[in-house]
Amino acid sequence: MAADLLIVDDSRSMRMVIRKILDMSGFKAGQYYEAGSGQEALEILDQHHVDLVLTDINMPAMSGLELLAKIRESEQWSKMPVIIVSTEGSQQRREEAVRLGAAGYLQKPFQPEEVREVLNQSLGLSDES
Amino acid sequence: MNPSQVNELLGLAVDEVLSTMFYIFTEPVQPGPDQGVQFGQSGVVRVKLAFEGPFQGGLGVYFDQRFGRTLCANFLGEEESEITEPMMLDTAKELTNMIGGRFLVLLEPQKSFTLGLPEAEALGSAGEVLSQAEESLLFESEEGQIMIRLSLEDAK
Repeated sequence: MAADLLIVDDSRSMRMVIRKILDMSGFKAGQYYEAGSGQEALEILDQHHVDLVLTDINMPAMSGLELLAKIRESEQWSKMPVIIVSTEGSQQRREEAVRLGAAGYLQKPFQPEEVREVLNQSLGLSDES
Repeated sequence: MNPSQVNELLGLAVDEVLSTMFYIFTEPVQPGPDQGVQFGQSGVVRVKLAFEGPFQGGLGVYFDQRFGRTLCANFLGEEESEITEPMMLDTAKELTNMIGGRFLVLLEPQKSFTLGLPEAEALGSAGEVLSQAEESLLFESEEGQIMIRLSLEDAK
Protein backbone atom coordinates (compact mmCIF):
# COMPACT_ATOMS: atom_id res chain seq x y z
CA MET A 1 0.00 0.00 0.00
CA ALA A 2 1.34 3.45 -0.92
CA ALA A 3 0.40 6.03 1.71
CA ASP A 4 -0.54 9.62 0.92
CA LEU A 5 1.40 11.92 3.24
CA LEU A 6 1.00 15.50 4.41
CA ILE A 7 4.22 17.18 5.60
CA VAL A 8 3.68 20.28 7.76
CA ASP A 9 6.65 22.52 8.50
CA ASP A 10 7.14 26.28 8.21
CA SER A 11 10.58 25.62 6.71
CA ARG A 12 10.44 24.79 3.00
CA SER A 13 13.93 23.31 3.30
CA MET A 14 12.82 20.92 6.02
CA ARG A 15 9.80 19.81 4.00
CA MET A 16 12.09 19.05 1.06
CA VAL A 17 14.50 17.15 3.32
CA ILE A 18 11.76 15.06 4.89
CA ARG A 19 10.60 14.04 1.39
CA LYS A 20 14.17 13.22 0.41
CA ILE A 21 14.70 11.14 3.55
CA LEU A 22 11.41 9.31 3.01
CA ASP A 23 12.47 8.47 -0.56
CA MET A 24 15.88 7.29 0.68
CA SER A 25 14.30 5.18 3.41
CA GLY A 26 12.43 2.94 1.00
CA PHE A 27 9.06 3.93 2.48
CA LYS A 28 6.28 3.39 -0.05
CA ALA A 29 4.75 6.85 -0.38
CA GLY A 30 1.93 7.70 -2.74
CA GLN A 31 1.07 11.38 -3.03
CA TYR A 32 3.01 14.00 -1.08
CA TYR A 33 1.28 17.15 0.13
CA GLU A 34 3.08 20.02 1.85
CA ALA A 35 1.82 22.75 4.16
CA GLY A 36 3.78 25.69 5.56
CA SER A 37 1.40 26.23 8.49
CA GLY A 38 -1.22 24.46 10.59
CA GLN A 39 -4.02 26.39 8.88
CA GLU A 40 -2.80 25.36 5.43
CA ALA A 41 -2.60 21.76 6.66
CA LEU A 42 -6.26 21.82 7.72
CA GLU A 43 -7.23 23.18 4.29
CA ILE A 44 -5.31 20.39 2.52
CA LEU A 45 -6.91 17.77 4.76
CA ASP A 46 -10.27 19.20 3.82
CA GLN A 47 -9.58 18.91 0.10
CA HIS A 48 -7.46 15.78 -0.35
CA HIS A 49 -7.17 12.20 0.81
CA VAL A 50 -4.32 11.89 3.32
CA ASP A 51 -3.27 8.72 5.17
CA LEU A 52 -0.79 10.22 7.59
CA VAL A 53 0.38 13.65 8.78
CA LEU A 54 3.96 14.54 9.75
CA THR A 55 4.13 17.86 11.57
CA ASP A 56 6.76 20.07 13.13
CA ILE A 57 5.94 21.49 16.60
CA ASN A 58 7.58 24.87 16.56
CA MET A 59 5.66 26.92 13.98
CA PRO A 60 4.27 30.46 14.12
CA ALA A 61 0.49 31.01 14.56
CA MET A 62 -0.51 27.35 15.12
CA SER A 63 1.95 24.91 16.71
CA GLY A 64 2.13 21.27 15.64
CA LEU A 65 0.58 20.25 18.95
CA GLU A 66 -2.34 22.61 18.37
CA LEU A 67 -2.77 21.14 14.89
CA LEU A 68 -2.72 17.65 16.40
CA ALA A 69 -5.42 18.66 18.89
CA LYS A 70 -7.60 20.07 16.08
CA ILE A 71 -7.23 16.86 14.06
CA ARG A 72 -8.17 14.74 17.07
CA GLU A 73 -11.20 16.93 17.79
CA SER A 74 -12.57 16.59 14.29
CA GLU A 75 -14.99 13.80 13.48
CA GLN A 76 -13.52 13.25 10.04
CA TRP A 77 -9.83 12.88 10.92
CA SER A 78 -9.90 11.80 14.55
CA LYS A 79 -8.29 8.41 13.75
CA MET A 80 -5.68 9.75 11.33
CA PRO A 81 -2.10 8.95 12.41
CA VAL A 82 -0.12 12.10 13.20
CA ILE A 83 3.64 11.96 13.71
CA ILE A 84 5.43 14.78 15.45
CA VAL A 85 8.74 15.79 13.87
CA SER A 86 10.64 18.14 16.11
CA THR A 87 13.97 19.40 17.32
CA GLU A 88 12.55 19.20 20.84
CA GLY A 89 12.96 15.68 22.17
CA SER A 90 12.64 15.62 25.95
CA GLN A 91 10.71 12.80 27.62
CA GLN A 92 8.18 15.36 28.86
CA ARG A 93 7.56 16.67 25.33
CA ARG A 94 7.19 13.15 23.92
CA GLU A 95 4.70 12.23 26.65
CA GLU A 96 2.72 15.40 25.97
CA ALA A 97 2.54 14.50 22.26
CA VAL A 98 1.39 10.95 23.01
CA ARG A 99 -1.20 12.26 25.50
CA LEU A 100 -2.59 14.53 22.77
CA GLY A 101 -2.86 11.54 20.44
CA ALA A 102 0.37 11.48 18.41
CA ALA A 103 1.01 8.13 16.75
CA GLY A 104 4.78 8.63 16.76
CA TYR A 105 7.59 11.07 17.51
CA LEU A 106 10.72 11.78 15.50
CA GLN A 107 13.43 13.99 16.87
CA LYS A 108 15.62 15.81 14.36
CA PRO A 109 18.25 14.83 13.37
CA PHE A 110 17.04 11.40 12.27
CA GLN A 111 18.12 8.54 10.05
CA PRO A 112 16.02 7.28 7.09
CA GLU A 113 15.53 3.85 8.72
CA GLU A 114 14.09 5.45 11.84
CA VAL A 115 11.62 7.48 9.78
CA ARG A 116 10.47 4.43 7.81
CA GLU A 117 10.07 2.38 11.00
CA VAL A 118 7.95 5.04 12.77
CA LEU A 119 5.75 5.60 9.69
CA ASN A 120 5.17 1.91 9.08
CA GLN A 121 4.39 1.37 12.74
CA SER A 122 1.90 4.25 12.75
CA LEU A 123 0.14 2.87 9.68
CA GLY A 124 0.11 -0.68 11.06
CA LEU A 125 2.41 -1.93 8.28
CA SER A 126 5.27 -4.39 8.69
CA ASP A 127 8.66 -2.71 8.51
CA GLU A 128 10.52 -4.39 5.65
CA SER A 129 14.01 -2.97 5.18
CA MET B 1 27.64 20.60 35.51
CA ASN B 2 30.77 22.66 34.86
CA PRO B 3 31.33 24.78 31.72
CA SER B 4 33.65 22.26 30.12
CA GLN B 5 31.01 19.49 30.43
CA VAL B 6 28.40 21.82 28.96
CA ASN B 7 30.73 22.61 26.06
CA GLU B 8 31.33 18.91 25.53
CA LEU B 9 27.57 18.32 25.21
CA LEU B 10 27.29 21.19 22.78
CA GLY B 11 30.13 19.69 20.75
CA LEU B 12 28.31 16.34 20.67
CA ALA B 13 25.13 18.02 19.47
CA VAL B 14 26.99 19.92 16.73
CA ASP B 15 28.76 16.77 15.57
CA GLU B 16 25.59 14.67 15.57
CA VAL B 17 23.47 17.20 13.69
CA LEU B 18 26.10 18.14 11.09
CA SER B 19 27.13 14.56 10.36
CA THR B 20 23.60 13.09 10.24
CA MET B 21 21.71 15.75 8.29
CA PHE B 22 24.42 17.70 6.46
CA TYR B 23 27.18 15.10 5.86
CA ILE B 24 29.75 17.45 7.38
CA PHE B 25 32.24 16.16 9.93
CA THR B 26 33.71 18.62 12.42
CA GLU B 27 36.46 18.77 14.99
CA PRO B 28 36.53 21.28 17.85
CA VAL B 29 39.25 23.88 17.46
CA GLN B 30 40.91 25.90 20.19
CA PRO B 31 41.37 29.37 18.69
CA GLY B 32 45.04 30.28 19.02
CA PRO B 33 47.89 31.92 17.15
CA ASP B 34 48.03 29.11 14.60
CA GLN B 35 44.37 28.20 14.36
CA GLY B 36 42.19 31.28 14.57
CA VAL B 37 38.75 32.10 13.30
CA GLN B 38 38.75 32.30 9.54
CA PHE B 39 35.55 34.07 8.62
CA GLY B 40 34.36 36.77 6.36
CA GLN B 41 35.89 36.06 2.96
CA SER B 42 32.37 35.63 1.56
CA GLY B 43 30.30 37.39 4.23
CA VAL B 44 28.89 35.79 7.37
CA VAL B 45 25.62 34.10 8.31
CA ARG B 46 24.39 34.77 11.83
CA VAL B 47 21.53 32.83 13.48
CA LYS B 48 20.07 33.50 16.90
CA LEU B 49 17.89 31.10 18.86
CA ALA B 50 16.46 31.71 22.33
CA PHE B 51 15.17 28.99 24.67
CA GLU B 52 13.39 28.77 28.01
CA GLY B 53 12.89 26.00 30.52
CA PRO B 54 14.90 24.71 33.48
CA PHE B 55 17.65 26.92 32.03
CA GLN B 56 17.15 29.92 29.83
CA GLY B 57 19.49 31.39 27.30
CA GLY B 58 20.33 31.25 23.67
CA LEU B 59 22.60 30.12 20.91
CA GLY B 60 24.37 32.25 18.36
CA VAL B 61 25.58 30.32 15.34
CA TYR B 62 27.98 31.89 12.83
CA PHE B 63 29.61 30.69 9.66
CA ASP B 64 30.96 31.91 6.37
CA GLN B 65 28.40 32.28 3.58
CA ARG B 66 30.43 29.94 1.41
CA PHE B 67 30.12 27.29 4.13
CA GLY B 68 26.40 28.13 4.32
CA ARG B 69 25.93 27.32 0.64
CA THR B 70 27.70 23.97 1.02
CA LEU B 71 25.64 23.24 4.11
CA CYS B 72 22.41 24.01 2.25
CA ALA B 73 23.40 22.05 -0.86
CA ASN B 74 24.20 18.98 1.25
CA PHE B 75 20.99 19.32 3.25
CA LEU B 76 18.70 19.67 0.23
CA GLY B 77 20.64 17.46 -2.17
CA GLU B 78 20.97 20.36 -4.65
CA GLU B 79 23.91 21.81 -6.58
CA GLU B 80 25.62 24.73 -4.81
CA SER B 81 24.98 26.90 -7.87
CA GLU B 82 21.23 26.42 -7.31
CA ILE B 83 21.30 27.71 -3.72
CA THR B 84 19.76 31.14 -3.17
CA GLU B 85 20.21 33.32 -0.08
CA PRO B 86 16.68 32.58 1.28
CA MET B 87 17.36 28.83 0.93
CA MET B 88 20.68 29.23 2.74
CA LEU B 89 19.12 31.24 5.59
CA ASP B 90 16.22 28.78 5.93
CA THR B 91 18.70 25.92 6.20
CA ALA B 92 20.80 27.90 8.71
CA LYS B 93 17.69 28.27 10.90
CA GLU B 94 17.00 24.53 10.71
CA LEU B 95 20.60 23.75 11.60
CA THR B 96 20.45 26.03 14.64
CA ASN B 97 17.09 24.61 15.72
CA MET B 98 18.44 21.08 15.53
CA ILE B 99 21.67 21.90 17.39
CA GLY B 100 19.69 23.72 20.08
CA GLY B 101 17.10 20.96 20.45
CA ARG B 102 19.69 18.19 20.56
CA PHE B 103 21.92 20.07 23.01
CA LEU B 104 19.03 20.69 25.43
CA VAL B 105 18.00 17.02 25.36
CA LEU B 106 21.58 16.03 26.16
CA LEU B 107 21.69 18.64 28.94
CA GLU B 108 18.34 17.78 30.58
CA PRO B 109 16.84 14.62 28.99
CA GLN B 110 13.77 14.51 31.22
CA LYS B 111 12.83 18.16 31.16
CA SER B 112 11.08 20.19 28.57
CA PHE B 113 12.37 23.41 27.00
CA THR B 114 10.61 25.80 24.70
CA LEU B 115 12.63 26.91 21.71
CA GLY B 116 11.99 30.29 20.16
CA LEU B 117 11.80 30.83 16.42
CA PRO B 118 15.34 31.18 15.04
CA GLU B 119 16.33 34.40 13.29
CA ALA B 120 18.93 34.28 10.52
CA GLU B 121 20.63 37.02 8.55
CA ALA B 122 23.47 37.40 6.11
CA LEU B 123 26.04 39.97 7.22
CA GLY B 124 28.57 41.61 4.94
CA SER B 125 31.19 42.03 7.62
CA ALA B 126 32.72 39.55 10.05
CA GLY B 127 33.45 42.25 12.64
CA GLU B 128 30.85 41.18 15.20
CA VAL B 129 31.75 37.51 14.82
CA LEU B 130 35.44 38.10 15.35
CA SER B 131 34.81 40.28 18.41
CA GLN B 132 32.99 37.36 20.07
CA ALA B 133 35.41 34.63 19.07
CA GLU B 134 37.12 34.32 22.45
CA GLU B 135 33.86 33.49 24.24
CA SER B 136 32.69 31.03 21.60
CA LEU B 137 33.24 27.45 20.54
CA LEU B 138 34.81 26.88 17.17
CA PHE B 139 34.48 23.77 15.00
CA GLU B 140 36.40 23.05 11.85
CA SER B 141 35.54 20.86 8.88
CA GLU B 142 36.85 20.39 5.37
CA GLU B 143 34.03 22.66 4.21
CA GLY B 144 34.79 25.50 6.64
CA GLN B 145 34.35 26.67 10.22
CA ILE B 146 31.30 27.09 12.39
CA MET B 147 31.33 29.17 15.54
CA ILE B 148 28.82 28.84 18.36
CA ARG B 149 28.19 31.18 21.23
CA LEU B 150 26.12 29.76 24.08
CA SER B 151 24.51 31.72 26.88
CA LEU B 152 23.00 29.70 29.67
CA GLU B 153 21.57 30.71 33.02
CA ASP B 154 19.19 29.28 35.62
CA ALA B 155 15.56 30.18 34.99
CA LYS B 156 14.43 33.02 37.23
